[in-house]
Amino acid sequence: MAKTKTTAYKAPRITWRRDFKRNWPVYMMFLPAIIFMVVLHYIPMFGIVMAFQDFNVTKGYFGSEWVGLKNFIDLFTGDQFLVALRNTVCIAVIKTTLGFVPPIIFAFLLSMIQNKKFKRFCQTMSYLPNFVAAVVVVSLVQEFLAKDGPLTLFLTNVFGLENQNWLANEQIPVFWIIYLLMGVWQGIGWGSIMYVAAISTVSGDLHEAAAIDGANRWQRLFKITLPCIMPTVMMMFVLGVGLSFSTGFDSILLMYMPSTYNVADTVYTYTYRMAFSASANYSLSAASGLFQSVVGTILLIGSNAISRKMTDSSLF
Amino acid sequence: MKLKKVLSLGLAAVTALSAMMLTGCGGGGASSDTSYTMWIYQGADASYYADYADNPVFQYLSSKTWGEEEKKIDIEFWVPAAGTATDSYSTMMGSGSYPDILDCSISDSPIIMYQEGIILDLTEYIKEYMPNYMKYLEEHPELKSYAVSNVDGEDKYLSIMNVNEDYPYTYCGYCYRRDWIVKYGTNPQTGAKFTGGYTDENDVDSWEDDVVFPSGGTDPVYISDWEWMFEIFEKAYADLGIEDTYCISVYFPGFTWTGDLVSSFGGGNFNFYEDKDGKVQYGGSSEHARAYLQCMNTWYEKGWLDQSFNERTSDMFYAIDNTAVRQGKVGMWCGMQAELGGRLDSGDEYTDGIYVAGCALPINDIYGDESCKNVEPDCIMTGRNLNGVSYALTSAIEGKDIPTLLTMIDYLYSEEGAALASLGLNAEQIAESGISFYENNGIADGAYVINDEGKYEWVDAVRNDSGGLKTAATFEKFPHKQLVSSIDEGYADTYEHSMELWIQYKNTAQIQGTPITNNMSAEDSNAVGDVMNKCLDYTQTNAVKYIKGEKDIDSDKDWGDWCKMLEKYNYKKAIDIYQPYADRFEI
Repeated sequence: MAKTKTTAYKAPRITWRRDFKRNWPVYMMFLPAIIFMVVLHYIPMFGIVMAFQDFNVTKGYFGSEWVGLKNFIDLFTGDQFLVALRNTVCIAVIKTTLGFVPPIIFAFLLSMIQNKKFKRFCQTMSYLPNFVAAVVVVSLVQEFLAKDGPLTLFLTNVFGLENQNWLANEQIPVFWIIYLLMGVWQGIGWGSIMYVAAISTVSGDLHEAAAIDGANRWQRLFKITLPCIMPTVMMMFVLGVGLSFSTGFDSILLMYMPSTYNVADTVYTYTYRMAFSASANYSLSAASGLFQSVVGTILLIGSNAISRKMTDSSLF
Repeated sequence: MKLKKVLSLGLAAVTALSAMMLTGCGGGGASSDTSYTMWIYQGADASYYADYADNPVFQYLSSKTWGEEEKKIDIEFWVPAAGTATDSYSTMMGSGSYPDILDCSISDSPIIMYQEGIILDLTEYIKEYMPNYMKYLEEHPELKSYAVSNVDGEDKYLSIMNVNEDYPYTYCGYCYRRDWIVKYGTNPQTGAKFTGGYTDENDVDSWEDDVVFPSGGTDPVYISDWEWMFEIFEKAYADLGIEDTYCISVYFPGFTWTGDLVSSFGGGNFNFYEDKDGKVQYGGSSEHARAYLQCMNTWYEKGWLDQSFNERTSDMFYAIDNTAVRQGKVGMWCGMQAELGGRLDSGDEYTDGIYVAGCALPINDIYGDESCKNVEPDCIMTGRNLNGVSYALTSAIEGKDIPTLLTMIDYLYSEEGAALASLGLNAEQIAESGISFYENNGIADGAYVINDEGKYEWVDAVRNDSGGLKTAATFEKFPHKQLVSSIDEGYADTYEHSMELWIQYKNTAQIQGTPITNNMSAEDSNAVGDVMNKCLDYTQTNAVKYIKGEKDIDSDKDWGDWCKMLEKYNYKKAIDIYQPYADRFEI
């Protein structure tokens, strides 16, 4: 029997110019995004130079004195810096581990709801906290966790815990847990959007076949749904790790107090105090921002590589 | 054809008119060299007008002619949205888009801006075109060092200050429940019960009593007087069944770094200040600071000090735990004018019959060594000075008519101009100018009248207005002389007495915002700012521990740790930087 030689189909080479001529409307649609990125993200990156200057608003970028790494040395040698860094890392770890799971569970629960109207109602209600300003959310937390707050009274009366203002508690990890739970309450609905969308794309045939084979709901969840949405989960995880270092500066600034600096101070809040309490120091603030951006980028690249190695799915 | 001709003529007329308006040849408008821009930190209440150019006093001024050439003036006001002033200022400075006139509320010192070429030297202009301003400075030589900047050994006028006719009342100070002193206290000398109450139940200021304090006067003077009051408040709490309360609270870090109550313990503050011998001191590690912390610790241990003071981080220092204060559960607090007298009486259990009196900062007679006792407070953040905000002319005004602008500004330092800026237009000026603001806001004849004693008096609509009518009707946001003692505010004697006590001690030691810091070079300013930030962060983080007893303020070791840490931040270097300036400039 003669062997049939098969050759792979090779797409014809197309020049960039020809492609542009053919698809220019698509390129044109991309143009605003490029302009947006360049104008609002890349050009302002020039401001990084402030981190290496003794920046003075009146002298501007070109007139301020160049001081090299002095601002970074000031930042890293601050007495409270190590405490702030520890808190930032711990809060980031808690946020990306414990805080990462609730939106997935919530998405699973939503996907189980059969009644479409009720499902939509639940989704909408869960999104709402995301649109509440940080200052309002913090006020609610302060009210609930005050010495006479309803949650405090509940914890005291039901579990016999000490009656106290929980936000003033200096013990590890009370503040971190409060911060985590506040974030979960505010972001669980919004964070579940991607997972709900991913779950909806899982073929019903797979579930049907598994059900016929006798798989119960738990088995279908862990053997079908979860593996199917794993690329989305990993993508969200990689993004989450990259952003984890930028802990919610605004809400911590509103919640912490001098007596809880040891557990609540983060690199952001520490820099804010160092740079703007008695007199403004824009350069120190820029150095801190650059440091956090670099760490965030390293984390993003690292988690992406780990994800690619372990699950074959990655963001880039 | 005819229609075409009419249209052509019409268009030509419109074009000519536009051209005339644009080139300032319209006869009634300002010319291009007398059209200015001005950035102000904060505008008036937007419910009256959104554009500050609609201010009635400015409208009146812009309808007049000024200077030898009798020119009209026009100003375009740049007013940042509420809460964005700092961003607006930074953007303006960073981009180099300066206004002609700059409100220096949040600026670097004039000397730094002058050296950077941002603002102009006004010395010759002010001497020639601002006789009223110069006259005021000659009459108040203590202000001259604020008005001039020393550039390379030469005194220069780099900005124009807002000035006050007299020391104005402050907006806040310590308040206490005097009705409780009457009800639960006894005369410390005779042991007799006090008597007192309202003489007119419809007048919240008609209070009379025979209260005498341990120091012998009718107002509290010393820390011992305050502690005597705290004991009386405790009796009130027990009698009324008020639980979970306290006698006094303090700002959440445990102190206000600018002074105030801290200054009661031998003067100074938790920052840099100038002592009576003209030496710059750092107060955070002084015996005065220790005495203050000892007092707070004692009050905390005795339950007089709010046990949760450090948790009230969202409260302003003059409105701490405002809910409890307004519920009538607190004996003493730092509050505002609107809380004096019987104004907090809401007829409920704890506020019924309330009478709130103001008092001066106390003088320590108990805590610390002798240097901390019997010294009047001298660092008072809530005190008001004779001078206020400064305004500078930037390089953007070069080429425009500066003499005419300064002539107009100088008018606002004359008696007539000061009245116009401080009180708004009078009935005659309203009628002459046809400005409708006053009529539209229910004060057709203006915001004030002149009483039998020849003093200015606000009309009822302005006096009773709790919003921004007074600010909108006057010209506060522009350089001028602010009338103070010429205005009869209509305060009752008891009310006025409280406010007089609030400004009893003058702010003489604070160096921030004085010629000492205003004349610093950028390099020196940054160096001391860096030290201040570090020291402040340490003291704010740790003072609470000493007050709450987590660290022992009486232990030399613990106090030594505190001092050692502050020394590490090199406050001595900052003092060395400050001292030459303190030697050269009076505050």
